[in-house]
Amino acid sequence: MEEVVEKTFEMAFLIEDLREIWRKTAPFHKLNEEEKEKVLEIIDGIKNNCDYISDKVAK
Amino acid sequence: MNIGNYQLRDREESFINLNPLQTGGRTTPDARKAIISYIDGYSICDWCKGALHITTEPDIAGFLIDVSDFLGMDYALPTNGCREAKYGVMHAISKGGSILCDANMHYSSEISAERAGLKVYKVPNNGEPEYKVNPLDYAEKIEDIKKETGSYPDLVLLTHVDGEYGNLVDPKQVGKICKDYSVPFLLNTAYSSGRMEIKGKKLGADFIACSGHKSWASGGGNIGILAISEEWEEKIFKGGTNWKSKPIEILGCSSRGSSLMAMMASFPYVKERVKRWDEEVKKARYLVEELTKIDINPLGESPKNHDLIKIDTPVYDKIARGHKKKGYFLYYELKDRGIIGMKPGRTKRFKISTYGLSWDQVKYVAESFLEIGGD
Repeated sequence: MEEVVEKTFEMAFLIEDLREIWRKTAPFHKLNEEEKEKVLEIIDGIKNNCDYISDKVAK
Repeated sequence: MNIGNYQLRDREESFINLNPLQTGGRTTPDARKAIISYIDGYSICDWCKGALHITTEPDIAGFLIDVSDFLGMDYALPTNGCREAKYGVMHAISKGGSILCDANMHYSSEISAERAGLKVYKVPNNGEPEYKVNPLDYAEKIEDIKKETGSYPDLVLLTHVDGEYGNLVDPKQVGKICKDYSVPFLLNTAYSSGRMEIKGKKLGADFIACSGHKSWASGGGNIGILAISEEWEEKIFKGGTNWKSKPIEILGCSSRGSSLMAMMASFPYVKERVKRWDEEVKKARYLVEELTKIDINPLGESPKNHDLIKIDTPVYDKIARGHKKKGYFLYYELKDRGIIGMKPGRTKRFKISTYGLSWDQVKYVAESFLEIGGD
């Protein structure tokens, strides 16, 4: 699999993990420390994948 | 936010959804990832070996072995839903005679029976408020059918948990009666398997019909399972005359896409969650106990043995009569509190489900209902 494709799926999958946190904490989404950490970890993952694809496409 | 001309659905992310039809089919992250990947038409058929159920990449064949074991049966096939599983059995079994069902049966059981050319007889429930079906009444009804028609029914069906009151009926007693009369027994587990542990053969069931999108954390379309005991393999899973590998009753290959993948991806989670069924029942009982602090009366068996709760709610009906939004007031009051899943306009009687909610969410739901009711 091309890495840009793999990273695209990785991002889509990370978004599903994020979506799960909103589901578990609906309707107010008051996050505990563990959930906050998880959200930030997911966002980092998405950012990293975005950066990788940006670099690859820009070259 | 819209998707083209269609409204985005964010009910699970933005609200606590109490719709009993939907709570057991909420997908897992793995199911949604599988759906994303296998979203295209016939995506599951990349490595087709001639039929869906023998496909090993993805490993549908292995999954079906695991599912049979999970349900305590011998063989399983994927179907397009629970009703298709029921219809498959009825069609294969029907000799144009009759079927004995319970009065709380789902409409799709009755429609399937009609389509299969079976005359429907029903074991009655005991009426309001519990609407309970006594499994021992099956014996008397079987005798009545024999007297009326000269034959025993071709098939017996029991709705393990009905979708109206959430009553749980003991299938073991029906299974024993069916064995005594040598009548095959189909257990409809649309609201039970995938939520609670079921070992079909131990219950005396010859056939188990399951709903993936109702109780196995599956989505991305419709999906069901038909599981059977060994002695029925030849009759129920029979292949076509010129298409030996294609089971007639599922028209060769049933669910050919993402919904089957969703079910497979959720299966490890489902195997674990059935072990926590007692906790789910506790949540339902807690909510019922809280709601009865105001003028709300539970319908169906008491205490509850399932998360589906039907309630008679004079308290809200009284408020609705003097409210400018009339019967819609309750829907909007709940929606303002982030709770959804009831039919708009209903204030007299309605159904809700606590399945899969956290204790915090269940307590918040209870508080909200009480607050709206003026407690």
